Amino acid sequence: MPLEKRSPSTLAGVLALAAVFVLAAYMVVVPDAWHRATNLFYYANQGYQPAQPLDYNHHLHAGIRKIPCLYCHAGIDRGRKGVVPSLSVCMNCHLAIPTKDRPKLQQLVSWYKTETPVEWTKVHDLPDFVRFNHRQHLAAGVVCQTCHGPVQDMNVVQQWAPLTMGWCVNCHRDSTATGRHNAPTTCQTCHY
Amino acid sequence: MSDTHASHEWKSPEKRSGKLPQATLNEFQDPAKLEKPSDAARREFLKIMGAGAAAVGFAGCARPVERIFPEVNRPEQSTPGAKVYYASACQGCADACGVVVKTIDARPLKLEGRKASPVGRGGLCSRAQAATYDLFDPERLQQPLVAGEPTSVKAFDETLLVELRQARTVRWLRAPYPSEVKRRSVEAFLASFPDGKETVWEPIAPDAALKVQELLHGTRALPRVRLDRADRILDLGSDFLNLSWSRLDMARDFSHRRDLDAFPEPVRLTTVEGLLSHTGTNADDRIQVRQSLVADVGFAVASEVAGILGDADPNIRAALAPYSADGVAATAGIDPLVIKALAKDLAAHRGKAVALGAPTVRAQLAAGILNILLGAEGTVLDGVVSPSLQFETGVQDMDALVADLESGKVDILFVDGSNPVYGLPESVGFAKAMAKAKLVVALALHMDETAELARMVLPTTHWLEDWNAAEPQKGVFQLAQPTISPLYKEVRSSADSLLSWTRVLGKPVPWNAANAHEAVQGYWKEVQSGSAVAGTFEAFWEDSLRHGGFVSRAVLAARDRTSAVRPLAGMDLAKVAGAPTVPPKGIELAPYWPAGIRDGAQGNNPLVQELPDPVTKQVWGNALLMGPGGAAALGAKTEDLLHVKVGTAEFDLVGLLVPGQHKDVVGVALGYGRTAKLRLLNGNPELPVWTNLAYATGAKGMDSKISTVGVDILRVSRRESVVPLEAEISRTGRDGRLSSTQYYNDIANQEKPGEGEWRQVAVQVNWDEYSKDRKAGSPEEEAKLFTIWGDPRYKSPQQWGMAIDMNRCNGCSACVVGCHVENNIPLVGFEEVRHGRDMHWLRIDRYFHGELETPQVTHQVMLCQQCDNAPCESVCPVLATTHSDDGLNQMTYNRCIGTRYCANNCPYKVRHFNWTNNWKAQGLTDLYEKTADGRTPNAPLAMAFNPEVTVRGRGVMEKCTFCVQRVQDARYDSKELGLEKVPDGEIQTACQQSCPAEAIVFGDIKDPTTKVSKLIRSERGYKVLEWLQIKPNVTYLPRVRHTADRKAVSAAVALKRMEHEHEAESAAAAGNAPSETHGAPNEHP
Repeated sequence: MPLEKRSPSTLAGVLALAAVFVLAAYMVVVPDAWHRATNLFYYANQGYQPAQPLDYNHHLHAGIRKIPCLYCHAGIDRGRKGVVPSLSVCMNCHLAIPTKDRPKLQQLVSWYKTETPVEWTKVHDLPDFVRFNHRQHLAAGVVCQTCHGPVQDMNVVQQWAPLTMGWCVNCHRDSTATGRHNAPTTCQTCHY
Repeated sequence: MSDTHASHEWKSPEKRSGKLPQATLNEFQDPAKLEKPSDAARREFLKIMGAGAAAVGFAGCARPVERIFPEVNRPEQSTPGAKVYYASACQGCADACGVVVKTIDARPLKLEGRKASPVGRGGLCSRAQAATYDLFDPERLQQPLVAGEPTSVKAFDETLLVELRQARTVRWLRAPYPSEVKRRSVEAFLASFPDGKETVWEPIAPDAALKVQELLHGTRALPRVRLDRADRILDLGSDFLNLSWSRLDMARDFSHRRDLDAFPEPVRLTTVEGLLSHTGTNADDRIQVRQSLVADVGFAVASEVAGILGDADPNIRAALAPYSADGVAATAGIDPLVIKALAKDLAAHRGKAVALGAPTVRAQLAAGILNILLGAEGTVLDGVVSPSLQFETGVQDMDALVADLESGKVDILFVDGSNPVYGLPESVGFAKAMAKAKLVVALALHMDETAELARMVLPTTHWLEDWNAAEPQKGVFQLAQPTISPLYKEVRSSADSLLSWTRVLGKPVPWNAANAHEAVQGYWKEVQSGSAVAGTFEAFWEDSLRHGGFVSRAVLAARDRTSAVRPLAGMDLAKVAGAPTVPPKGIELAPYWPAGIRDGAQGNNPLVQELPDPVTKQVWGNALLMGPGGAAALGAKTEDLLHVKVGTAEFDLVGLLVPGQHKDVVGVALGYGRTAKLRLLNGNPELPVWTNLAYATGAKGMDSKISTVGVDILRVSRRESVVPLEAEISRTGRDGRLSSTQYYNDIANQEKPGEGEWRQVAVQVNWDEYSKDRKAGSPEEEAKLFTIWGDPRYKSPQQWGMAIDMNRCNGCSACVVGCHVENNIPLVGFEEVRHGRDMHWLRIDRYFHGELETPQVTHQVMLCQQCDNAPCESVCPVLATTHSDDGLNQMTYNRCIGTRYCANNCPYKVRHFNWTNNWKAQGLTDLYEKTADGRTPNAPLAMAFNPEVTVRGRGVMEKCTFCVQRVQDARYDSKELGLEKVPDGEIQTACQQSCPAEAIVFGDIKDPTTKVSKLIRSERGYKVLEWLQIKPNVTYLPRVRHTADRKAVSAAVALKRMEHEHEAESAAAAGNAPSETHGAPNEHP
């Protein structure tokens, strides 16, 4: 029988079934479906916490040991990029730290000795058409935690802030309005 | 009103006569030829939709996973993404100008001239600007080849060593470069053999000049030319802006001498030529004669000058005896008064005049004689204190080498960075002679025409990967250091090869050097002791590396002050000068070296192929250039396919009308028609790209089996390549095709040819008028009409603007290439340029004034004017283009949706749309795109991108940004230093930095003390299309022609007068008072 000749309740039933099917397909097909549905800034990857090849723990190093951010991430005040340190920076300390019974440290040292670069997964990723410059923000006195959150409390780094354009522009506007900084909001600041 | 058309500038003769080449009028592609989305993509899409889960579409929004690979051992003080500059010396040609190389992450990305270097002085030519694309050329040889089989350097050496131990007669052929390191390395290597000789040769080497200097002064040495000391320059077909040694210095001095604020009177350049050469477009006066009579005219002028000044050397008098102004003028068909007046003018400026000759012996002799008569020695020419050493002397010349090869006695011929199979005419028979050598070893960058015939090929490094040292002028030492490790493992610089082979053969190695680095250091120790520099060698070495070379203060002072004169050698000049030429009866074909592609060595570099020739504005090929008289005689027009017979060679070539060319002369550019199997030249089927760059003229080249870019005229030229040849030209009746950038975007007249309103865009005035009234010829100030925009208010304390002096610009187009490299601008190829889709953010428009037969040419640099009331900004539906707080028109690529309304609205037509995914079409967006057998052939070229500028994809508009990346960088730097404003001169746009003529000045126009503000306030400054009230921020300074013709009136001034008369007539006729808007004060700041 053609669809329009069926009773309204049957039609409703078919639609309900289709809706359930779509929902099931969504949950199955779409990656991270639950997080997408529950997180407003999911598209901006807030909360993104990928697994890393090396179990580096910021809470231990930056929080407990209180190593300053710029000790390892040196060069951020000189250039555009956020500099992930090379293995040689780790080895500044770890060459002297015993590795007996510590498989993770043994892994670190072996990578260094075999000259294998660590393949980190980028956590804070901006689109290619955004040219963010760390140097300016450091020069303006913006503290790392403002955008990266309480990294010293993170066991595994996650993206704490939405890093959306609106979020950046709000801070630029507010800080200029209060006279604290002179953060430009003209397009060419980030897009050129 | 057709008279006023003649008075306006016109962009091309075709526009004026009303017959534009056809295809260039069609900007929009044939829909049938558009890229179709692949079927697979469509099916995929339908599948997803068919599943009914619209939410599945969100899967596309998941961002890609990116990885970071930091180094294991980061070098000390290196910061990823930070710019590191190295001082070095260019090795692109023998000039050895100083360069500064900008590197990011150990990749050289941009070359700039080094200001402190006495050779080059901060400018850089288009060849050097394009060098990074040569370095990263995917078709560089990556492995040595022995009999076509790839092998390793070690195995190559072993195979070669066997031959070396047995060889008796060895020849080394290399391109000239003033490097003592190279010379001694070759010398030491050749000393290992009983008969070892070196030949230094390149197609554009000034052999004729060297011969004549030896004839006149006894030594084969070229003088240093100081054009800024000349009031009068006579150019006998030399095209010195293009072909002279130290041409960047020539350009800078020449332009400086035309700076109207620095000198009370500008220099006068008179050219004698048959073609309209690049230098000829900058001439104040041109004497058009057959190319074959240029030297004769030179002798005639010299004869007159000798008559006026008297007391000439008897050898000179004997040489000039057969020549008289009347005689030569009669042969040439010009008025003898022209020659006499020219001679009188030159003689009146004795001691401040110079003559420069074409690269033929007779023209050089005429120029040399004139220089002696005019007292140029010691004033304009310095042949004693710091002469040019750029072209070696005292080496075996090419003819002797060919004779040796022909005799069959050569065991091994090494061809080092040279391409004689292409670069020599067929009559020399180099390929045949080379085949007689028992072994030919080519040290080459590409598989060029010579390497193809060599049994053993060793890839060399690019000069950006090499150590070297040069002494281009006596006392000036340049130090070239590598800015990147060799890209490939199995390549080696020729210097390293020489040193290692010499060592293996057990012979003494210069400076006992293990490699080029040590050799350069060994040489540098000699430089230190030779110049008596105190201190340790390490300190001197570090200092020299930082500065890119060394020149002592004593030498600098001596160079400035010298007036030393070289004595005459007393040789028989009459024999060389000979009798007056009897020109051929018919048409003569004059081959010439073009400005961009020069000898063709950079043929596989798309930047150079797509650089519009300064005179013809043609890209991707050469054409048969005809003058108006010649075209009329043939009944031909632009884009007609013409059949050319030169000797026994016949070929078809597309015709191109060039105003100002002699009626009996046709020109063809050398450097084209290469047959090497490289992808730009005639297609490398290995590489799956370049389909958009497919070149099809429909013509038949000399070798009709392969299609080449342009036609190879070098093959049939004489030994001195620019000597005119007798030719027979006829029409084939078919149409050819050429690609030129001047048939569209004509802002002087955007209507159809012959119709519509003409606007004054490029102002050119004569010196006489200008000296009386500095505003002569400039567009009249229009009354300020009602405007809907208020005055702009910029928050930033600085506002950026630019001033371009058209009197200093000579049209060399180095700025165009510099801009391309700095901003990752894609190249689009022959077909796309034909459709009007070139991507030159900065272009040089060529305007003619006057008559077709005697035009005056103005080069106008046109770029985004960053208008305050930008017409492009108000029409963008998505606000992708907006105005910044410091006066720049911003372009936000990610917002652009491609309506192209902004480009439509731009009156200067400086906006360029990415009609195709240009870089992807060349396989460059996917660095790791693999071929079927897993190779990544395109990989290196993507390394040439500047990471500081976005790479644009399809569907996005782009335009000049005034190098906003440099502006932002400088603003950040200043902020960090606590400065409120960026100091003047800190920001140099790429175009400004590369200009050898210093024609472009950029800076803060809010600050009245900056250099740019002073130029903007100049009385003669004007803005293009200012009456549209869009408030452009680029000020132009007009071309001022210092013509000898006192009665000549500039076209611009004539036009103004005509318009005034017309207005006065119509006002009188209507009985009204003259218009009140005339002469209203200009309210613009």
